Amino acid sequence: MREVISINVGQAGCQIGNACWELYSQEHGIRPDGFLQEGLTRPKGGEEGFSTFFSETGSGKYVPRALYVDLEPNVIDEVRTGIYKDLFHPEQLIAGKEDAANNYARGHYTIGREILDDVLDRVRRMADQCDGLQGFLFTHSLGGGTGSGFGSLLLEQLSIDYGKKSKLEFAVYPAPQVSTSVVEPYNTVLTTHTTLEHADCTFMVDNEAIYDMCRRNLDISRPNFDSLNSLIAQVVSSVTASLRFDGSLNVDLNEFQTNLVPYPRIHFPLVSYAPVFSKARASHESNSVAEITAACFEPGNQMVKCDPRTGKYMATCLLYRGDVVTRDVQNAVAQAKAKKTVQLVDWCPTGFKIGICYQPPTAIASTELAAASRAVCMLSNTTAIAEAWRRIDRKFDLMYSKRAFVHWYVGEGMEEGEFTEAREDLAALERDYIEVGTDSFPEEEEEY
Amino acid sequence: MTQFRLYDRISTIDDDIGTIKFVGYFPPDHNWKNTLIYGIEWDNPDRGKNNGNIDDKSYFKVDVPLSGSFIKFNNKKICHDRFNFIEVFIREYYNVDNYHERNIKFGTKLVEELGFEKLNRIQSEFKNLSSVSLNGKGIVDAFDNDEEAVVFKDLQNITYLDLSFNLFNNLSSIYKIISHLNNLSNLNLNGNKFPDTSLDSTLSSLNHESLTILKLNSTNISINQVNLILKSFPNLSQIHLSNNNYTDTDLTQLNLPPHVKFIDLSFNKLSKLYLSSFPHIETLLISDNHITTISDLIINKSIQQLDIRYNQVNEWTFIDQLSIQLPNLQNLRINNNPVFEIVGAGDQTEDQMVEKMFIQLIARFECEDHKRGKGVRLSMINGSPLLESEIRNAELYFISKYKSTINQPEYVISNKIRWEILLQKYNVDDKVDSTIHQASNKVQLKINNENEIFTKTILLNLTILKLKGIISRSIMNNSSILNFHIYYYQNDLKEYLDTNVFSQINEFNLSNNQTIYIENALR
Repeated sequence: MREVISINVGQAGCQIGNACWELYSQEHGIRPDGFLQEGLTRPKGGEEGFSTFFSETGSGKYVPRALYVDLEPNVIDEVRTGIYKDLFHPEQLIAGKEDAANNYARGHYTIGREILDDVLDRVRRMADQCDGLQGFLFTHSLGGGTGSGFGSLLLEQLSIDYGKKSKLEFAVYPAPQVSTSVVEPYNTVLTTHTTLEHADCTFMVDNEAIYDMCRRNLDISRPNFDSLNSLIAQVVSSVTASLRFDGSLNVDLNEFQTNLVPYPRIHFPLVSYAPVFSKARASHESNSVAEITAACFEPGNQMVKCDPRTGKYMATCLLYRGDVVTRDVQNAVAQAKAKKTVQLVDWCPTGFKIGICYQPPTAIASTELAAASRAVCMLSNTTAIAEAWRRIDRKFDLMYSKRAFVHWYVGEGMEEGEFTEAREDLAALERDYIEVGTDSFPEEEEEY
Repeated sequence: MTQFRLYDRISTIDDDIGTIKFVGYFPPDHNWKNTLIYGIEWDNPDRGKNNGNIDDKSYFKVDVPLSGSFIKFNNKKICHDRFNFIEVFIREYYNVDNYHERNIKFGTKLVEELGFEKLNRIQSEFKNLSSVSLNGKGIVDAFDNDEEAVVFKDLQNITYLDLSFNLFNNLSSIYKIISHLNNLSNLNLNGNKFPDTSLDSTLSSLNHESLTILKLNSTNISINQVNLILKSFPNLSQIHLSNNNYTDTDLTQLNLPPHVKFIDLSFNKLSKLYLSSFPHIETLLISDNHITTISDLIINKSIQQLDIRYNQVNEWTFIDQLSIQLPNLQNLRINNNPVFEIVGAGDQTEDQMVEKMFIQLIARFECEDHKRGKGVRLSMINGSPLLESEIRNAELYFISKYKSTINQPEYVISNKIRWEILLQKYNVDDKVDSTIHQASNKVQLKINNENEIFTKTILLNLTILKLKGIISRSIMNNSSILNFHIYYYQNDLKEYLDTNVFSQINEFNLSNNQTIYIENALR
């Protein structure tokens, strides 16, 4: 019994949560009303793994260990009226009345504070149902008001209340293509500053990268949030597969960090996923282990836009799932090694792990992404991801140099000093990445 | 060294696959004389060098131009090992004792393999296997003797079998394998080649009830064989036949039984859409062909999903025809056809082109919201689910475009019923709005400055002050607007425009190409 509580915050968080739980329940053979699919006597994936994400009620119904929180009712109402309305207990869906208006300060200080106690109370009740809580899985956006503001507030509180429990995040990194507000850089920098010490491991998902994948690999000419979220859900499912099914790697949330996080602040692994192709094209892909492994090392399959060739790897996990045989995996990795110039830091002796989960990925009928008999997800802590921070910092500086839009935050009771503080923290993070990337033994300099 | 026969499939050490199309010797005057030569047609045409001819003499024919070449029998690149299915299966899946870490190193880091032993243990217990993938393993045949076939006893839980890109060249070996797998539901044979020589009428004796999905992409299997195969699988619902070089004539021979609901015919050479060939098909994938027309006028009520991307559709009437002939279409993919490039002509961004394509399609089909709709109308276009508001926007935009342009083919719907519905929905008539053209909100003026004439287009709702400002900036070298007056002639009477500079231009009776004169106030 190593339970994980999922907490979805804000519009993006809740919508991704929806997509994820839809996928989880199909993978485990659970109907939208929470009961088992016909013909099953036990949920798929083994009792041990399954109970980390679902709890069973006396009536044979299964309920996700999940909490939805939003400061405005729209998205939560969609859950309440959607196909999966019966899957959740009404207590799990918490909606405020007034939204955060894309404002970190509203989510973190004014509006957010009002519902904090209520949310903590529900978390407490859910934690009480667990025999041995492993930790929390957060889903939220960095750019929105609720996701950034309230998300970081809740994370802070949880780290006070549940000090030793792991806190993993899936964070949506803002992108201009699907942007909703101009202050996204502010929110991102502020929330990253606040959560940097509280989250143990953050998997970033760059909307721009996902958007490009939808266009390029799925040939969706006009991707919308549904398309993006279904792809994100597949990735989240791959990462959590080893927790939910009898896997081999990372059966414990703590191990995620131990494997991937060499320093507490450097906790942003880059996620790559393969294969991504549309149903109409599915039968043309041979999708061999070698191909999907090679694809994982391609920038086009990364969840964050950055060039790993410019950085160095500190640790890498390859998580295979589905129908693979060990020999193929060994060959594929040997091939990838021969073809790719993968630079690794020299101060870290180990850190390249391969794990296999026997459960194949599932495709949702209504989405474009095709089911594959096997998939691979690569988590790598590379210094190249600092590029994402540099990008957002630059956008922050552009606006902040003119103090544009700052009054919205100050008006909600935030001090302007927090902006400078957050920005400095991020600058320090950029420097940290440069430092871990440099070799401990300087290269020979030319001398005459 | 294996002695290959005609139509044998061979592979090379660098993973190319080909078919032997010629076995023999070159004439005595060739420097390869007295050496056994194989003529090979490569699956990957880039690997080929010629069309099966050397020195103007043709030895064999190729299907794809320049995909043939000749090699000596002792060419070092050819794999001479020939495996059968059982051998390879046991080698790949039965590893209970011989697992050892490979100790691959990435830089200084040793690759740690976790759970491999456990996986091997699970897989070696064949009863646990539900899915077996043996793609690209160089398998040639099923098994050699019946003793080997006892393995199948433990394989009854297999539902998915992937044998793609192996070296099979006849269907009877495949039948030999699957006749032992009673629960198989999904079989992938992509990339093997089944030439007509393997056609054997005794094959139809097989009756496999559980198979529902059969993939025969890039197999060059003939339609005759497909028709024969279909008889063996009474519950087959999906068949994939893409990249098999089918032409229009081939397709007319295709005889699909009613239980097949899904067919993939993409990457073939079809130029017409034969809707009458698919009376029971619900999903038709026919992308990447050369389709320009619909061949018949039949109304097909079964098709719900159509993928017709990357074809040569270049007329709006084709799309209107689709909307008439496929009344139950719910999911359409039709991007990358030339017709949309016409709409998107000019220097537009990709996003604008996509947007125009969506408007066209929504207007020409009856659509519904993908969540709130009843699930009977088109609700997915090019992979994007539709929303009620988008549909409304697009339809209104289309009507307004129709009304403001005169008979531009891109804004005319030839599907009369659809056009009627569209007009009724928004309660408008289909008269082209001629008033829009007159009640333009701008006017072109000729500005006469000391007999120099400038032409300017001005918005009618501007004030005279603004007009003078424009004139000052563009004609009068930024001289103060107080330094000049402007006037025009109404019924030969000189009338000043700037008696009240705050009046709007449309208060005056200015017509297009009216001349306005500038008078220097200082003089």
